[in-house]
Amino acid sequence: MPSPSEHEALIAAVAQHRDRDAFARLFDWYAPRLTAYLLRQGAEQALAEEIVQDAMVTLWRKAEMFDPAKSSLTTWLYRIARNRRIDLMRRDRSTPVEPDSPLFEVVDDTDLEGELDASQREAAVREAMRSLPEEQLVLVRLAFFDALSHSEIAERTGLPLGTVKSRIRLAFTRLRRTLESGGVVEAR
Amino acid sequence: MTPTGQTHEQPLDTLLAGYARGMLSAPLHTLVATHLAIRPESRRFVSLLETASASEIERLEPAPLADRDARLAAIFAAGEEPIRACAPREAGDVYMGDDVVPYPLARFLGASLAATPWRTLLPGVKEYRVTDNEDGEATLYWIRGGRKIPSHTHEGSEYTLVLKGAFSDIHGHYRRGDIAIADMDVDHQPMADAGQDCFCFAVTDAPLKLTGPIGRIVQKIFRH
Repeated sequence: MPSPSEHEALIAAVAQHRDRDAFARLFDWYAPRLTAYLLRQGAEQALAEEIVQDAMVTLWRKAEMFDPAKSSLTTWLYRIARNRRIDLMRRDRSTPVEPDSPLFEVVDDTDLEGELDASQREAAVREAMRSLPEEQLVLVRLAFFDALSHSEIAERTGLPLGTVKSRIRLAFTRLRRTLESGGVVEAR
Repeated sequence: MTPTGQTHEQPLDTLLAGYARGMLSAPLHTLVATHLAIRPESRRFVSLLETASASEIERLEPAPLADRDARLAAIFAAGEEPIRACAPREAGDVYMGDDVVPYPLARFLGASLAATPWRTLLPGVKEYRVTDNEDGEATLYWIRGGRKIPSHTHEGSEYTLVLKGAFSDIHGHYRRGDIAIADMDVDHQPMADAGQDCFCFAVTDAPLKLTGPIGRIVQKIFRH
C-alpha cells in the first residue's frame, strides 16, 4: 500500500490544481478496492460500480473538503460510499439525491484528542474487541465484520434470537466503555 | 433482558455500530446521522468503528475494473460542469435545515417542520408519515405539551429521536438529541413534557400496531 502521506500529496494536487494524473493514481488504487469491498458486502456488480463511480466523482469535485487531520482518505471514501449506497437503496426515491451533495459534511470526524492516526484508531478498536468475553466477541464479529443480521446470526449459531440480541448489545456497550476508559473516546 | 455484571446494555451503542457499518435502512441511517449532528459526543465512538471498518478496504484484493479510461473520462467531464448543473432546483429552493432540523434530516424530509402537511391523529397530537414501505415507517410527530401519543407496540423496534421539547415514557425522559428505543412487546405511551410542544422523528423497522381502546380506534380510522 502506498503511504498515507503519498495519498495526501496526490489529493492535495487534485484539490489545488485539478491534477488529472494525481487523480488517476488515486482512482487506480481506490476504485478497484472499494468495488471489492462493496461486492463483499453483497452489492450487485452494477450497483457496486455505480456507487464507486459516484464516490470518485465526489473525490474529484470535492477534494478540497478532505482534511487529513480529521480522517484517513480511506475512511473518508468509505463514508461517502456507505452513504451513497444507502441513498441508492432507498425504496422511496422522492427526494432528489445528487452525487455531489455535501454528504460528508454531516459524517465528518470531530477532532480526536491525542491526534490518533488511522492505524492507531484501528488498533484501539481491535484491542477493545479482544477484551470482550469470547461469547460476545464471536457474535460481534458476525454482526460487525461479517455484517450479518441478528436473525442470520441466530440461525448460524443456533442461539435464540433474544440471546443474540442481548449479547451483542452488551458487547457494543462494553466496547464503547472500554474505548472511553482508554481515553480514546470522550467520556459521556 | 436482565443486565449481567456491571454493564447495562445500551441499545444505542448497537445502533451506532450498525450506522458505522452501513447496515441501517435509509430512514434509520438518517435518524442516527441526525442524532450525531446534535450530539457530537457519540461521533467519536462511531468514528473509531468507521476507521476499523474502512481499514478492511486496504486489505482486500482489488476487483477488476472494466472501462477504466471511459470512467475516468466521465469523471473529468462531469467536473467541467458547474456544480449546480447537477441539482434540478435552484440552490435557494433546497431545504438545508435550521435550528430544529439538522441537515441530514432536512435532506431526507425535503421541507421544514413549518411546511410539513401535518395530519391530526388525536387532539394535541399531529403526525406526518414520511415513508411507509419495506424499509419501515418514518414519521414526524408534533405533540402538544402534556399530551400523549396513543399506546402502541411494534412488530420490530421503534426509534424515536427528539428534535425539540422533551417527552417521557416508562423507560425515562428524553430531550433534544436523545433516541428512545422501544423493542417489540414494549407497550409504551410517550408523553410530552408540560409547557412546551415536542417534535420527534420516529422510525420503525416493521409496521407498528396501536393497542389500547383509543389506539384500536385510531388504527381502524387511519391505517385502513
